[in-house]
Amino acid sequence: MNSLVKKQRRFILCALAIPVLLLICFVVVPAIDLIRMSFTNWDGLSSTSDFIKLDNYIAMFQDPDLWQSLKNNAVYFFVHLLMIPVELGFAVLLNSKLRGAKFYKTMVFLPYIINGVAISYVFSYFFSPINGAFDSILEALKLGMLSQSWLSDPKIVNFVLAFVSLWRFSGYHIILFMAALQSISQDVVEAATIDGANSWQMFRYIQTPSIMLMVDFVLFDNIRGAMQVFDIPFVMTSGGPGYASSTFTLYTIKTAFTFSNFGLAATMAVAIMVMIVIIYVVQNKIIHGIILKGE
Amino acid sequence: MEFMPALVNGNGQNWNDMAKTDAPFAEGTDINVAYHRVYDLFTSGVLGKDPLGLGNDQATNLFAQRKAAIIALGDWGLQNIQNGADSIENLGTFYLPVRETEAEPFRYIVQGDSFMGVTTHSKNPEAAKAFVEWFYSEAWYPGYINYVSSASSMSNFPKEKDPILAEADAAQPDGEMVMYDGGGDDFTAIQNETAFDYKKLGAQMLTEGFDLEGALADLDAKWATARGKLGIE
Repeated sequence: MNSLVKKQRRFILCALAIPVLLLICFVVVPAIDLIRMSFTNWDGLSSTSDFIKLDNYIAMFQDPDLWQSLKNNAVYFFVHLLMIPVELGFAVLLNSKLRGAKFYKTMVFLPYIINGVAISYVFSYFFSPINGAFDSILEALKLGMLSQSWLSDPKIVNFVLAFVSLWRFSGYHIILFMAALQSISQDVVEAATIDGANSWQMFRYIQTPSIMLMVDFVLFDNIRGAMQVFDIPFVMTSGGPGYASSTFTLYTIKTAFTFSNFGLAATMAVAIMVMIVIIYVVQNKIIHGIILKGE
Repeated sequence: MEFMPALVNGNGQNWNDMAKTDAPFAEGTDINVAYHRVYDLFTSGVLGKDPLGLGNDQATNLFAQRKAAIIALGDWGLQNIQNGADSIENLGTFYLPVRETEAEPFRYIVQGDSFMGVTTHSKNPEAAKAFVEWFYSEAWYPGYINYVSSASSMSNFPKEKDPILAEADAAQPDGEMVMYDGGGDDFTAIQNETAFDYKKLGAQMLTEGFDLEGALADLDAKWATARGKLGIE
């Protein structure tokens, strides 16, 4: 075995071992500890805790405020899900030879790179009932009668917050779709053009199937993002009024840090991981197994 | 929502006393009386448009910019107002009255300016104690207390009350101070177990269809269960 091969093997070993080691230290071990903690009544301070079997899991399922929070997560999930086809459409549009496309690309991506807390803070002023810009816009358009208690009416507050989330994350999805669209082989596109495919056929039968991997990622990112949304409701409403705009993560953090119940919070964290996986598998089955297979 | 139960009968130990009973929210208790008074005020039509739509920062800014006439804050709020205002000329203070009639004593809350202590679970109690001692020593406390707008709670480092805050004392010379206790171990344990959150409850009072009696009865039920579970006598 010559020295070059030895060096290559050493490099491959290091390249594999270091990330695996880091993954074990910072992901696998904490995850196992989280699961262990979910069966205890640890208060976050004591050096000891008791093993309480499934008590936390039972308490979690019996907590109506947690279910309310989960229902609020569903609003974010469905609002974002409905917007994914629109985001895909925008990506196709911006990927075409559009005048000023670079400017639009920057504009759509900008909200994503701004700090989420800052965005939430600004939007809380935007929807303020006194001197709020949104109400002023409605007034200017002679639509003042549509003014609502945007951040305090339990019936609409989650939709308002989901809109802010949409404003922030849509650009990210669009950029991801654009990156995927640019990776489509030009040979395929040209062949379809020669065969007489129009824009819709190109979108439906060439572009969309070619970027399904990215669509899958965005769909997964939507589930993960919707289940873990925190900064927007935390800054804009603190989950209120009551638990009307609380989310699963917000409730978990409150359980841990306000009510010092780290054991129960760990149970919720385990539940959120399991839910993300389940929803992703179900969503994948629906999209790939039923919708795409049927066509 | 936090201080009112202690003010009803001048019981600064109200939270700790609640931990000794199974039904602290029942009719006639201090907290029941206090929350009914708050609820009656909220539903009496005196509130402006969408009171829950404004955050504390926004409300303080509006007040500092003279777009609001009154704001309810502790003495710590003065600094925020000063930071946001062009001028604090004409700014005055008074203690928020919570009594029903003038015949009742005029009570207001006082408490320590910083909650510091060493937990029983501390791994390094000596180091933690040394930190608390340093905080209240000449090396730190005088500079700190003069920076914030709160009054000094240390007799060896007196601080003259800000003239704006002193106005409240002058306006209520017969005021009765209630030394507030934020709640001991038992109360905290029950509060954590029941997830009792008075701030959230107060916000819920402003929502449509809120049932105060139902909410208080529900809290009583949770309280009794929690005391039983935690073995608190």
